[in-house]
Amino acid sequence: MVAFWLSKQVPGDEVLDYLSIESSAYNTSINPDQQRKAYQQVAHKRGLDLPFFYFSLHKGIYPSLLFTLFPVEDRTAVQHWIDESRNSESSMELYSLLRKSLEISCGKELGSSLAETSCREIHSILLQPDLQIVHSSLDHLYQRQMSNQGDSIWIGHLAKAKELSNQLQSKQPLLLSGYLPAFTWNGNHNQYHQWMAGLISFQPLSSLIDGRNAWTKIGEALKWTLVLNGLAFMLAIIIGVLIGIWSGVSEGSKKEKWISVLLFTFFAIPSFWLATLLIFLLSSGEWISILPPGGLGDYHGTNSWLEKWSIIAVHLILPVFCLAIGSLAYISRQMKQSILHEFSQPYVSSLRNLGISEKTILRKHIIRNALFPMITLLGNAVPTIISGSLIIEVIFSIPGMGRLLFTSLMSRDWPVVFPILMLAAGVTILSYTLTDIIYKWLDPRVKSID
Amino acid sequence: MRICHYIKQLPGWHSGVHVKAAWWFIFFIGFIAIVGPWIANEKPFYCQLDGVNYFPMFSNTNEAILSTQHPSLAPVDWQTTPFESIVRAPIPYSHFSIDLKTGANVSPFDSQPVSIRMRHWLGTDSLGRDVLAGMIRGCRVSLLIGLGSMLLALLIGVLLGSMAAYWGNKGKRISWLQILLTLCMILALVIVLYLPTSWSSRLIVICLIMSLGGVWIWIAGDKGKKNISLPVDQMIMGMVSIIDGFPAMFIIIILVSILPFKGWLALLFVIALLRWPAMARYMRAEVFRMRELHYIQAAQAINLPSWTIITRHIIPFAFRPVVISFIFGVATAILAESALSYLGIGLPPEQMNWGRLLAQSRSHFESWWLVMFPGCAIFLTLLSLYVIGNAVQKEVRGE
Repeated sequence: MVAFWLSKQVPGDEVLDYLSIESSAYNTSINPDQQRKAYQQVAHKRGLDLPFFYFSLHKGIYPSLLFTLFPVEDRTAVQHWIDESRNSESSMELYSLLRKSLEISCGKELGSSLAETSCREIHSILLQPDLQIVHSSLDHLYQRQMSNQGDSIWIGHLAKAKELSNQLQSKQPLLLSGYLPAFTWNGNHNQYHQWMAGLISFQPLSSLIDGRNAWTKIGEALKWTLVLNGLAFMLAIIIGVLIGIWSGVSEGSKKEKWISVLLFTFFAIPSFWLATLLIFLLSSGEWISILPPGGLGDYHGTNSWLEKWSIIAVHLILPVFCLAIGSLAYISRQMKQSILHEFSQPYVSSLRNLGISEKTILRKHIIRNALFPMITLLGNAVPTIISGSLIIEVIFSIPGMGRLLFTSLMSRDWPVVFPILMLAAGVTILSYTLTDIIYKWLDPRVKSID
Repeated sequence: MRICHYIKQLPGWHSGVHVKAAWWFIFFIGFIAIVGPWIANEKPFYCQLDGVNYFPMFSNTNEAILSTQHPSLAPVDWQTTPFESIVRAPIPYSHFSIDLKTGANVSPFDSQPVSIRMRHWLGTDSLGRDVLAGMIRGCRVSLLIGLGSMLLALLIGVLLGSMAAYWGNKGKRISWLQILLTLCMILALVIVLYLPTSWSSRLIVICLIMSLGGVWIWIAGDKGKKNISLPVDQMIMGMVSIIDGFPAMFIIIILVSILPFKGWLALLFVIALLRWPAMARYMRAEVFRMRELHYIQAAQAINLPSWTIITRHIIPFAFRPVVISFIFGVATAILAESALSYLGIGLPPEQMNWGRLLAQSRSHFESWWLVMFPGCAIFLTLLSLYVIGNAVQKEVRGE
């Protein structure tokens, strides 16, 4: 729901965005009537002319049909009319008359300049919120039509419109129903429902940049993100746990102190700075240039699977290193603390008294018990598999999820941004529940808290 | 001196030389952040032109005003116009002043075509702005956003966490009358929201309704025979879980791009909104433990109002674990803000920032001064914050 609300808060008119890719007629024709028709068509096709949510609340004086008026600029003008005059039926009627006259005047061939100017004038009237200006321009238009003997239906429309705008200038007294907010139930025909249904069934949403399906884009990016983050994750866990165990065992020695200081430093380095430094040192040609600075390499030309993956692997060394260092430091510190905690438990000394060797104690008992807090840690870290590598991906130009989000956001490609958000949020929730279940399964001492 | 006495009580001051160094560094950065605009400014402290004394840094006088007042010397330029006497700031460049004479991408070790007094001690960036002035500005911005967002998060988190823990799920009892009055108030607010009158009159009516409703609800607290318990803990933990479910980096980027009001205030609010659950959790755990203490139970026995107990007796003593979360939170906030500036979002592009200086180095790899100095600054700040946080953690665990 939050994501839906955010997607509606986005600045700019959604229909206009879609128009730019769907109907070229919008951009090429300057005819206001055709523009409006194209707008309504696209809005209806996309389902954007439906109300937003299951129910809607609006001011009592607005009729519920107000929100079916498109385009939005027209709707704000009519809202102003109703606000000023408190007369909703006349305002709506005025609007429909103006639309009809627009259709008539703009439908003619553009040969006659009179029709063109009236077309444009009616277009500007439709956008005009101030009733007095509306009235005076209608007056002016009517005079001109009368003097030029135009179409009689049209003149009839204009006359009626003129009368209405005159009437609208005087405020009507308000009934009680105008003071209360009106509540309409929209049933299933609303945007939120369609959006959710579309998300769940993976309906194709076309991206605004190149019109491709947003889901395919996300799928491709997800593959690379999983590869990158998965590698970094596994590396960090394996090496981190090993280092943690070793530090826990050889606590207090000078070597261990230096290693822990080093790890602490690694923890505090901002990852983007490390990445920039490494690119600068290792691959930009200033000092040495052994590793490629970014991208995934040109692996399409090769045929064999091994070659392709070796090129990709070389390109992935630096990003994986940058990602893994911070987590490595954190994991090893946590591991060291939990091992030290285990060493101080009474069962260790009783095992020693039994004569079991240190190595066996370590292997069979301590490591298992010390791994328990690790599981919560890992569970918390699973959502960062998808979302944690944003900066690194952007720096190294790896086409993963973080970079996709970033470029879509920069180019205002909203249909891609929000499914990514929903995906990340969903994975987070899923991983938290999974962690709870696994923890309960592994450690029988944990009871559910009432 | 009293100050020395307070400083000696800072956490971790005596545990080792590295913690002391960390505290000194943080004080140094704070000092620079506070006096920043007076150290690095292109306006001088004092200048005298044609016999008239000016104090440009403390007033609004700028080059244009001086040009209009002394048209013979127009156009007035702080660097070149011959003032009769001038006392410049220690670093005679602002963070936005572009030095055209020196040009862009000048290393600190190059020979610069300006005098020693006006030398760019850390070089210039890709637009010709002085890097030292930019770093000083970056101190201000980072500390402002880091401390500000975490203070806000602290406020919200401490309040909500202590409320959640103190009242638990069964503690807070409200009567039916209160529920009824709350519903009526909400209904009245909704009706007022949709009235066809102007905004200002609606605002006045809304304030009236809320104050009246608040007073009525408060009065109706102990009346009414039937009481039900409000599950405060569940409600607050529900909110915490919802906010936890958001992937932090994504949300920050999306919100900062979408929100209609931008700037550092928006970033502050967004970070605070994402961080208060952590504070609330720590506070809640601490208050759960404190609830069983005897003096709290004694205070409850003599019927002190709950709010007094929470604010006077619980919160001041539950701070230590929250402080750990606070310190790490400040570090994360500074990291997040630098990362966003590095990517180009966040603060507006004219404002110099540590992250933005780093970002410029991406396109000019040979300018090592753009990589080293801001990066080291961020790194050292984060390092000192982590060291201090560790020291506090050790103290709390040792207690």
